[in-house]
Amino acid sequence: MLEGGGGLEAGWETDRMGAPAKTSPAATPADDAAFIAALKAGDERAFERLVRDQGIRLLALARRMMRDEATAQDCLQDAFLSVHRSIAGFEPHGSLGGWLHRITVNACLMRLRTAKRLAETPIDDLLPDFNGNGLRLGEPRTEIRDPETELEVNRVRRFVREKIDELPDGYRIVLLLRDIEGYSTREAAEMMGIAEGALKVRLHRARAALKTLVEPLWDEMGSS
Amino acid sequence: MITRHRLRWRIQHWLEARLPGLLTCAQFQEMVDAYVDDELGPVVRATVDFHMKTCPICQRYVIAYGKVRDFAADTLSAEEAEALDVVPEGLVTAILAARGVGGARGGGPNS
Repeated sequence: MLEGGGGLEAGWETDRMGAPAKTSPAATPADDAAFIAALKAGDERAFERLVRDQGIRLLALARRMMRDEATAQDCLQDAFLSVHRSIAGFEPHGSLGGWLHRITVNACLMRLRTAKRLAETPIDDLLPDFNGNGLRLGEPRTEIRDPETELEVNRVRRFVREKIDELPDGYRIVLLLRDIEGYSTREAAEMMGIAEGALKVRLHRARAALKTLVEPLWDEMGSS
Repeated sequence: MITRHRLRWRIQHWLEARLPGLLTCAQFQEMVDAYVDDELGPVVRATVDFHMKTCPICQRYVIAYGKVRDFAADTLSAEEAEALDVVPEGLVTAILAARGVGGARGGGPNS
C-alpha cells in the first residue's frame, strides 16, 4: 500500500484555485478521476478523506436504517471495510457516491438480516378492511391537510418519524429504500433478496400501515 | 331505513351491471401505489379516476395515502439536512484502524 499517495497525481488534494482542499462534502472530489485512482492505488490520505467527507451522509443513511447510533456506526465501519476491500475493482460506470450508498445499504441489511429483523410480520390491524362485496369498510377520518405553520411542520415531522420507527423493520426498510433513498422496485427487491412482487406488496402494506398510524395526529390537529 | 353501506352496495351493483370493468374498493386498493407513483397507463388510470368519482371514501383515502408518503419522505430528508457535519473522530479512527488489520471485524467503536 502506498503511503500518502507518493508518486501519484495528487490533483484531488487541491481545488481548482490551487488552494488546499476543504473537508466538506461539497468539496469531495468523489468522482474525480485522480481521486479514484488514488483510492485504487491504496492512498491512505485519499481513503481518510473519503471517510471524512462521504461518511457524513452515509452515517445519516445508516442511522435511518438501523434506528440506533451504535449499530449505525458499526454498519458504517462494515461499509468502509467493504469499500477498502473492493475499491480496486470499482468501475466508474456510475458515480462513486452511488456505489458507496449501495455498499452502506448492504452493510445495514446484512446486520438486520443477521439479527433476523427483516422477517415479514403481521400488521393486518393497520390495513384497510373490505366487506365481501369489495366495499371499503369504515368511514373516512379527519382529512389529512398540509401543515400550515412552522410549529405544525415540526410536529408532523416528529410524529411521522415516530410512527415510521413503529413499523416492523421488514416494512420500514422497504419504505426507506423505495420512498426515501430512491431505489427502484427492482433494485430494492434485489437488495432485500425478495421478488419484485413481494416487495410491492410490502411497500403497499408499509404505506397503508403508516397512514393508519399517523392519522390520529390530524384528528388532534383538527380539534385543537 | 336503508343504511349508508347498503346504499353504496346498491349503487355499485347498479353501476357494475351497466359499466363492466368498474372497480370495487378492494380492487382499487391494489392499484393505489401505482396510482400515487404515477405508474398506471392511461386506460387503467381512467378506470381508477372513475372509481374515485363514484366513491368519495376511496378518493379521500388515496389523497391521504399520497400525502403520508410525501410527509415520510420530507421528514427523513429534513433529518438528513440537520445531520451533523463531521463524522465522529472516534469512528474515523476505528474505520482506519480496522482497515489496517486487514478488514478484521470486531474492532469497531461499538463492538
